[in-house]
Amino acid sequence: MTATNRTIKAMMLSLALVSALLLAACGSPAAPVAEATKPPEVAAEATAVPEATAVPEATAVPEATATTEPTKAPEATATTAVEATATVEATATMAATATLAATQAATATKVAMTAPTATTAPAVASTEWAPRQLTATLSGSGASFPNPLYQVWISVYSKNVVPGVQLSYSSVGSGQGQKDFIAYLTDFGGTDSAIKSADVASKAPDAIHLPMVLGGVMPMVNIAGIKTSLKFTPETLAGIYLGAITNWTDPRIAKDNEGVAFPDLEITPVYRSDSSGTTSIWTDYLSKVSTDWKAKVGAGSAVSFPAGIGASGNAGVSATVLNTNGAVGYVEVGYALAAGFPLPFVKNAAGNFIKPETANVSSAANGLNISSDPKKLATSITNSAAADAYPIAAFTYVLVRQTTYTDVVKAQALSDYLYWGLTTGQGATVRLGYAPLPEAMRKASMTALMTMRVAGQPVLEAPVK
Amino acid sequence: MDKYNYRRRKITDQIMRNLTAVATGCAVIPLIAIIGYVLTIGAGAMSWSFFTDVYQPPSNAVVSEITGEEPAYDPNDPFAGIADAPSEDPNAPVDPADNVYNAAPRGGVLHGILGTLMIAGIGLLLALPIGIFAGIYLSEYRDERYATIVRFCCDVLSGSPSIVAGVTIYVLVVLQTKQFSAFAGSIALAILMIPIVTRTTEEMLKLVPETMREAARGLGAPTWYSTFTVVLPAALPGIVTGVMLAFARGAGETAPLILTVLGSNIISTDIFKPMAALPLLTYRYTESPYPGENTQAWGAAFVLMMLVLIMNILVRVATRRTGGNSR
Repeated sequence: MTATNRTIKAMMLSLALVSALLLAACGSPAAPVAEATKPPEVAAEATAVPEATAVPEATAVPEATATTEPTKAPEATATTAVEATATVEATATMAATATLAATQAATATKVAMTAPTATTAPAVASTEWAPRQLTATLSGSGASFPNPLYQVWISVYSKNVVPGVQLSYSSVGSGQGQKDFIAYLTDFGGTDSAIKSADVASKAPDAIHLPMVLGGVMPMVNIAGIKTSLKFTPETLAGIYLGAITNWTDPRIAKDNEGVAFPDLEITPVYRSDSSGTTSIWTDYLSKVSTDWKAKVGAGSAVSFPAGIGASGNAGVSATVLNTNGAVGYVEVGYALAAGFPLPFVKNAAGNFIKPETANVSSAANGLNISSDPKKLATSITNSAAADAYPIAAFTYVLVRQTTYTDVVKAQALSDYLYWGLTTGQGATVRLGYAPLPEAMRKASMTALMTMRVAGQPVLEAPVK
Repeated sequence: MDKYNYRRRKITDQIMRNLTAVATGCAVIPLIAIIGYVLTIGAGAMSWSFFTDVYQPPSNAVVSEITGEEPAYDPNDPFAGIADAPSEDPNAPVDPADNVYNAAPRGGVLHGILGTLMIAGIGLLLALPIGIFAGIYLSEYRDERYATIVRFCCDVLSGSPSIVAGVTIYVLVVLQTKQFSAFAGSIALAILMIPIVTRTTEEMLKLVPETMREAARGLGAPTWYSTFTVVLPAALPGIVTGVMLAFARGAGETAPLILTVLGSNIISTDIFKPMAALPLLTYRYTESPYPGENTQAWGAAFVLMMLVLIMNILVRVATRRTGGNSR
């Protein structure tokens, strides 16, 4: 009995201890809150910082640290400086510039030590560019379409290129990605559709849409016994989704598909029930090619479809089409490939029937008028005029903040990663079924990336090539 | 007359008994189907690396499959180990083996296992003191008006959908801290666990005979002393069952986690940062275009089931020993 007493007392004690610990733990998250919420204002003020103070420091410091070889020391000062930004608001701008100088110093020494191939030590400004070996944790969320590519990028980048940077990207959908980014919950966002222009001014005035890669959306058709690539015109696609064409034997479909014996079967259009970038691309296209569609339904990431059944996610649409005889659904090309469906032909603006293959999707962005405003890179490329362009194509974007990042190291790590994605990373696109960005857009995207500022200082200086 | 009545009663008995038997069978079928499906499909994802590796992007990764090791990193071709270089001729037919969608599953769910244990574990730590103390109050001071109100609220809370807890914590914690975090997820799970722990603790303490409390009082023990040394130990095995139920409920929840922990593809030990969890991985992998990842979704579900089962067995074994002693 006494033994039991002792165990019970021990239990009580530990219970009390645990609850005390919990109370302490509950208290602590309040501190990061204050730190996290403050900085945006700080940075807003900081744009007016006298640049003269930082520039000479930044150039002078690397020399000094390189000779004394303490690789760890500059980093230590860097982190304390970052904390200072959050706590002391008045001197925040000064601290931030100091941080910038310190990290640049750290990078310079590290580049010199770890990369013998880069003969010129401050490689940043010259033609040779290498990502800085920083230590940072970055999280993002958004579009599911580029997710496979982003995961490959992240895997290679944090395993082989910059091991200190831990990146995570969750594919939660474009709508959610935008929401998380606007609410400052993530460091970067992923989206297939641009943030609504009405929302940009009020909610995310400094958001930059960086085009990263191109993709296509296609109609995926399941008719028992027909395994060939069907041909669609803008009229038939709009007709099907408006509920005007209801049977596969409809002469408007048969006209384009001579030699295909369509069964007498009802058409079941499948659409996305969730807010999605794919829907935004699809409805943007239909609005451009059909005045009827534009008047009755319109474009958007979630519209009310006049006909058909809804399914959630690209995977949901693809599964619904797979299980429904006579169904047609719109999915990003990869999902149809995964399900083993043939790529269809869609008639483009030039009148040619084009399959959504990589080269044709790329062509959709040819001859594009690219805005010189870094914040206005998001453009629609559906229904492209190019002769070999697949008409239902779109850019997918990464959302970054132009001036409201407060953590210099984070901003540097993120910009390095994105720059790497726009250069080396483009090599992975075709292998994974994506279309690389056209040169002009890729350069515009890099230029926009380099307008990123922390406390008025540029975070990335690299060649645009 | 008598005989007829007997026959009728016998037939009625037969019919009703068979009906209940069929109903029982119907109730068991989904269970068997779930376990069967998870086992058979999930087994396809099982390998050593499934438990020891984190997320790896799907790809054909031919080189690593043949040699068993990752190819050396080549700065001139950074994606050599991830995917084959595209063919020179764009019109050449694609070899199915080169199709990234036909790739076998790679990587594992170690990050999810650790994440689930941490998130649900911290959630349980948050819920335990509150739940057990509340349970003691409800049982030992059961007639007070306040207790009735608390009991009612508890029942309402235990019946509320988990997504509600997720949304609430999203607004109260995630939006306030401007950070998706494992800790926010733990709080959301704690909200779901507290009513379970409270109610089971209360019910178990009620089962302890009043005579034991009276005996303790007779020996001069104050109420707090008799509660902690007599009543609580006697009810311990039952309380532990409730705690395990709470853990299983928490570990299996997806909805609150989608809104609070966001998910991650790397092992993260910082509870104030996004973290991975098995139910989240299951959900996301199900949505993936890659059949390999769809298989891994079943694998993750299987691991989650096993995790809860193993925890259950371990705690049962542990409490059986101590429970036996204290009685």
